[in-house]
Amino acid sequence: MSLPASLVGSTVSTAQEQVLAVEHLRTAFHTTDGVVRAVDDVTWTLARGEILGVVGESGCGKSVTALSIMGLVPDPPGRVEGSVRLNGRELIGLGEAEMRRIRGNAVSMVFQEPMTSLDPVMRIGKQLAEPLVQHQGLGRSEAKVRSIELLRRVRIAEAERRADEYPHQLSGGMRQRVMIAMALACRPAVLLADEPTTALDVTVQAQILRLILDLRREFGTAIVLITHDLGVIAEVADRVVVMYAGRKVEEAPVAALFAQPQHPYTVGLLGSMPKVDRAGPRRHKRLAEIPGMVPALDRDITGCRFAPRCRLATDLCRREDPPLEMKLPGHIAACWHAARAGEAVDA
Amino acid sequence: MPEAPARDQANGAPLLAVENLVKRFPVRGGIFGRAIAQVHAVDGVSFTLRDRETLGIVGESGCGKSTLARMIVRLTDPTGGTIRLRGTDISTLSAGAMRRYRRDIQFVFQDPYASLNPRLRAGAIVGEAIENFEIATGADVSRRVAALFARVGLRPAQMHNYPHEFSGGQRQRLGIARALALNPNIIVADEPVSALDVSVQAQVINLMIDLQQEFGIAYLFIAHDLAVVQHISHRVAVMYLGRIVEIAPRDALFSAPLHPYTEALLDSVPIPDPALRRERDVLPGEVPSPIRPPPGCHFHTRCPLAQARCRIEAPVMVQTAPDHFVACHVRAPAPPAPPLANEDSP
Repeated sequence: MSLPASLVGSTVSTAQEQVLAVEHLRTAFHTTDGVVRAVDDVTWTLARGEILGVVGESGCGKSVTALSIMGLVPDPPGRVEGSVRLNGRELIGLGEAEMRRIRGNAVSMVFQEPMTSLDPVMRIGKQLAEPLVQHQGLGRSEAKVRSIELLRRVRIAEAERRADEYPHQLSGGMRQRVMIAMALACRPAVLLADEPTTALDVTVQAQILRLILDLRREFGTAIVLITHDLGVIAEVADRVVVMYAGRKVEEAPVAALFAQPQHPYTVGLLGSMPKVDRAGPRRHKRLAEIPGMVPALDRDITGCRFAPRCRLATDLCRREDPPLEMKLPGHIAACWHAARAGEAVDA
Repeated sequence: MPEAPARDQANGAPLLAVENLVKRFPVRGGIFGRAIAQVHAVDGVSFTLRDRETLGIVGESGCGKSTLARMIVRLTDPTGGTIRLRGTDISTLSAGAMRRYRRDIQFVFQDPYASLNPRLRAGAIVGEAIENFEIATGADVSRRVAALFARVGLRPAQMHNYPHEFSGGQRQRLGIARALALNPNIIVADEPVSALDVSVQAQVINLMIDLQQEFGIAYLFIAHDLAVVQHISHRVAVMYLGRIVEIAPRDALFSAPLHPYTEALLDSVPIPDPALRRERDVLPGEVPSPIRPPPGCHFHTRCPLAQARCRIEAPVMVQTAPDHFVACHVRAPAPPAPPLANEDSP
């Protein structure tokens, strides 16, 4: 496995300037039925200009991680513990007023469904200008010019005309571009993108992924790309964190993760995903199945959380939680049998 | 366990033959709510579905694939064209007359929850159809339902549960069990796995392939995910703005596509292998409104190959290889069409 470094991008982030450091993040929801530990001791860092992919299936805690970083977890019932440092500054424990100054300014977020975060009764241009006035102290007319420039930056044709339109007049792809323009308006150090292309058609998805890569190049924004889609990860991420049931179970540079996954869950995910093959006649191969379902997170789990679904599981796995360990250079996984992870699905 | 039904091919007609199917929806406006425009949802679609095969239908939102599915299962009436089931045109049958054909074409939805009666227990949901169509009675019904549950990977004890007690994947298994209950020849599946997590999606896809082999069902499998469609289909049709632009055997479509839109779709799919990462050609623009589809070839506004003819005249389907048809003036030129034969409007 060898890849030109230029294609794969930066690898282990510790060598570079860290813009975001998440340490021992725990987010729990206290409900009448008990405590749901949605994020359970997650640690990772993000370097300047880096794209970190966070991948996992529904309920793995990937979105809650982003909301925790943004200070958007409602408390109660949510409770966020641990540390989130943005350019060295601790965000956990900051008051709402301070978080509001940081959100949309130093760190901003793009969601799957842009309509949920766009104001339906405010013109696009005005929505874009608002944070510029609030966070950057620009005058109204200056902010208007900047907002049209931002629309051009995200490749929206006829930016002046679009600035006067309302969100419902735009297509899904264009709305997502507007969201990205809003997110980038104040040149944040970090952009959190939660399933930004999941609701889009595949040709539009390709456009938005290209745009994300262009903007990283132009602005040097560090991006956390949260997705369930390993194809998207393979296309744009530099480094990948795989989450399962609230935990980080694997972390590696993108090429290493796909070439030599060290966790049986990652192996299963890769095997269960059908892949477009354009090479010619294709022999029919059965998709790998990961049997069963994700565990409920409202009760204590003994041993490895993936053990009940893992073909490699032994008594050790059912008894003791495997620690996150460096399995290969720059490649971390939590599995007692990482060396045999490849055997987790049928060859 | 339901037995594989005998497949009647006596009259030689294809299992399902759709011809020139059209669906237009009125757009109402003004104080009288009159039709002020029309959505050209499906704009002259023709294909056949053969016994025991899976025909995949792919396309992006607004291409008409779901409307097509709904017409074929008669949830919505076509504006024009025919749907022949073993030679019998079912497109204009009344609900009563449709009843005897209903058994033969079953539907699996994207969101099984929306299509499952929340107040019925799972066993009753599957048993209802069996009783309605008098396939079995009394204790035979529950025996049959239990067998269906076991076959789709549900525990027979789950017959007593309500739909909300099932996970997404289990609900889709339940939807499949209900569709199977009547021994259909055809299952029309509209995005059956797109709401599921990838590991569960694999379970349902594998199940559908197994059931096809076991019961000889033909699938019309509608999806936006090209990887899923490639995996499950024998033939694939690509739709764009209400029309099929290319239809071909699976391997031909994926390795030697002819229509520029098919190429663009395939180029857009993220490849789950960072070693193959590359600067890709990105198709510009977005799908135009089906209220005013572009004249001529609907794709010409985004097509890198478009010529003058493409802007005026809709291309007809031209056969380029066995079973491979494409509608493109550039890639598969046909002689000029006779006047009015392919016009958008008379």
